[in-house]
Amino acid sequence: MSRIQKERDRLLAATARTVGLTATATALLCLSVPGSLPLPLYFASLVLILCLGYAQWQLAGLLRLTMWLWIIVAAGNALILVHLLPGTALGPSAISAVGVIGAASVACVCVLAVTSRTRLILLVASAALTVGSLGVTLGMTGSRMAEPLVFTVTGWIALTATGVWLSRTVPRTLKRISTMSRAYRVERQASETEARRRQSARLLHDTVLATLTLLAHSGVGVSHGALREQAAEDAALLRQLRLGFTPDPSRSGDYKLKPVEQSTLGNTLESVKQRFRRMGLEVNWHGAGQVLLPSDVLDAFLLALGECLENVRRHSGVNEAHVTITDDDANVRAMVTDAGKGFDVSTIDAGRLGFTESIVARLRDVGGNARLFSSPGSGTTVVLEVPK
Amino acid sequence: MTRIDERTVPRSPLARGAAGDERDALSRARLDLGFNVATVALIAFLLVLFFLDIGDYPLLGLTIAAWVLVAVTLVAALVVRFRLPDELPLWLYLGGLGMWAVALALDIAGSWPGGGAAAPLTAAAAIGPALLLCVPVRPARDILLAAAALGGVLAIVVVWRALPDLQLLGPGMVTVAIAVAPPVVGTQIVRSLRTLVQLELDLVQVQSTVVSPGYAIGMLASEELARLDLAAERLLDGVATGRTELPLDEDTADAAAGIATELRLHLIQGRTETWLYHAVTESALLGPSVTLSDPEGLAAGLNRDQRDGLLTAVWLLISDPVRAGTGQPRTLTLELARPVGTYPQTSNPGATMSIVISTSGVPRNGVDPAAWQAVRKVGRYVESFSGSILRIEVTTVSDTSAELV
Repeated sequence: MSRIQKERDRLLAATARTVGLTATATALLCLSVPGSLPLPLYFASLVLILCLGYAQWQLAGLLRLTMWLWIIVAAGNALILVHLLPGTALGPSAISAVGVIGAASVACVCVLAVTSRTRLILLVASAALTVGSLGVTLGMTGSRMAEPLVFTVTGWIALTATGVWLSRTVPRTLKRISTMSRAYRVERQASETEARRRQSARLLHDTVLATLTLLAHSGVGVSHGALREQAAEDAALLRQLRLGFTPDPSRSGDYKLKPVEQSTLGNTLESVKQRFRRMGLEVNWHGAGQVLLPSDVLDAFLLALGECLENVRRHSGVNEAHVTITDDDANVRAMVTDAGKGFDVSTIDAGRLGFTESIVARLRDVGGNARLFSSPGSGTTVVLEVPK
Repeated sequence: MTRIDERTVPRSPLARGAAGDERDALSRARLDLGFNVATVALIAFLLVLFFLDIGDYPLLGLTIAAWVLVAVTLVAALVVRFRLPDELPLWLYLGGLGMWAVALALDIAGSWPGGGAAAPLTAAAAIGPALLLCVPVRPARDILLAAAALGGVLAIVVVWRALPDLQLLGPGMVTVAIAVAPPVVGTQIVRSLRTLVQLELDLVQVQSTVVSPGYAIGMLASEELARLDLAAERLLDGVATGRTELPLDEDTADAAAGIATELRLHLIQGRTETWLYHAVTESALLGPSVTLSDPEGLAAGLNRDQRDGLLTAVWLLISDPVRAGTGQPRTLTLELARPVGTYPQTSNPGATMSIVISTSGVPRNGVDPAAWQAVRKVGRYVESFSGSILRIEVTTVSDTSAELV
């Protein structure tokens, strides 16, 4: 049985159970009104009502449904026929009881019976049986016939309509939902792509992070004008990123929107240099300037370099740093040196966000590495290495 | 820490879509149609009952007036319905209730036993089936309150009238049942359908992770990144235009540091979380009830069928009581680990893993058969019950052709 069918049957069974139990309870109350049935017959009908109610309760379990449906029909009709036995015209409460049993207690089977052809036979047979036994009981006892019969017919029509409608609505609804899975999938891919796009705009984020950090430290050592200028530039880049472009710095002091597969190191180094000059740190380049690197490696490399220089600017106490770029067949190396205060390497906590996460993690992402050498009073050297 | 303007931050695309999807999926027009037939049938029966006893009404005019009122609201409802917004406006609903209250009073007065003859309450009982029409378009509480009020008034009247002759209680109780049961059952049906739709939408959303990369950023993280970028942009823009004074005041400086830290974390945050982690955290159903333990990210190694099977099984195990309408979702623990030294000959150690699903409160024979079917797609499994805890141990082999269960 498919899941959709199961959900459908579950809902139908729950509805049938609620309707059936409500009606059975009402019938029990009607029969319990003094004078409806002679006492022995009342007790017999209590047993039948228990049977009826139990079978209705079992519907929601969805096991052996057809058996329970037949038990409901049998117990309900037996309950109606019990009223033949006194042989006198039924009072208003007894008529109400047989009416409710016919119209809803038994009729609750038709909510579930619309789902298959064999059950449809059950539906027609039990409807005929119920109307028949009701007619016989009322006719032979000479009771009022019109109301209970009309009530019963109404009950069967209303409940069959409800069953048909529910059994069509549920599968249709579930199928419609499952077609939405494609939309969700596309949305997820789009979101993933968007995250990648933003994450891959690393160089941009590098400058943004540097500026933010600078602002957070009250922009010490940088003129307000320069800071505002840098902030304007970064905000403009973020806006472009938000609007769907992928800004990628390619020349000094200027950013162009273009996809870059490979870039030369030289141009971009110049932009890093400009940025740090504005903030009061003179960077001197030495060595190779025209190294070709894949863009993701280049981004990671420049980012790490930027972080190193930012550390120099903030902590070294000097305003000059040297960067030496060397390359061999396999790797590109940058050595960042300053003649500043230096520090004891063993005293920095390995988990400190600045060094390990910003620098090392990004370099490792692209297969590179970073090493740090320093001691108090003799400056600091960081060696960054990435594969070509 | 970060002062980010929530109003302009884009809302989750999923959250935005869900309400509309649900409405769409519920296809309200069909809900109405389903209840229309039942309503019309029941009201027609009550009308027939009225005509059968038409001679017994002491003040026939009042009852006819009551019927006219009910008929007017009914016709208005059937005509106006398709031009109304998704939810019936409160004033219109209250207006309808007002008219029904008048009809109720008129019918009670019109059928009041003057000379001893008992005339049934018909127009008053027809209010219940009429209320059924409002079920899909008003919150359940409104409908239940109205049904309770109607039932209460009718019950008092019925008992009062049956005092001289107890036998009249029976027909009276049937009248109350006809008035109260349809809206209550209708409310139950609509609520079950709504639960069903919400669960299915959740499942569909969860299953969209089946085809995502093994390690992914996830929709939440991606939105978070966008949010941080926007916050940074605002802050920088403020500085650039001079709106924000330099040097920054303490709060803004803290905000800048906070954004920088979070942004840094998000940028270096690789794809360390698996699709399974995202599926669980993004789901309204699974999120609160599943505890996932997958320290090595093994879930990333599952293929599409295995993922589908695992998610479906977990989802079925958890949602069963919700779908049956009997309670809260169950809690479940999901542990993925490498098997302990069992497959030494396997060349690729990532190819096999053991997945332990344990959940409490599942009846021994109460597991949805579809759940076992789904688990079978993941790999070989052994299930065991200890106390009330069901434990399913699955051993997967990534190469599905080797899996001969």
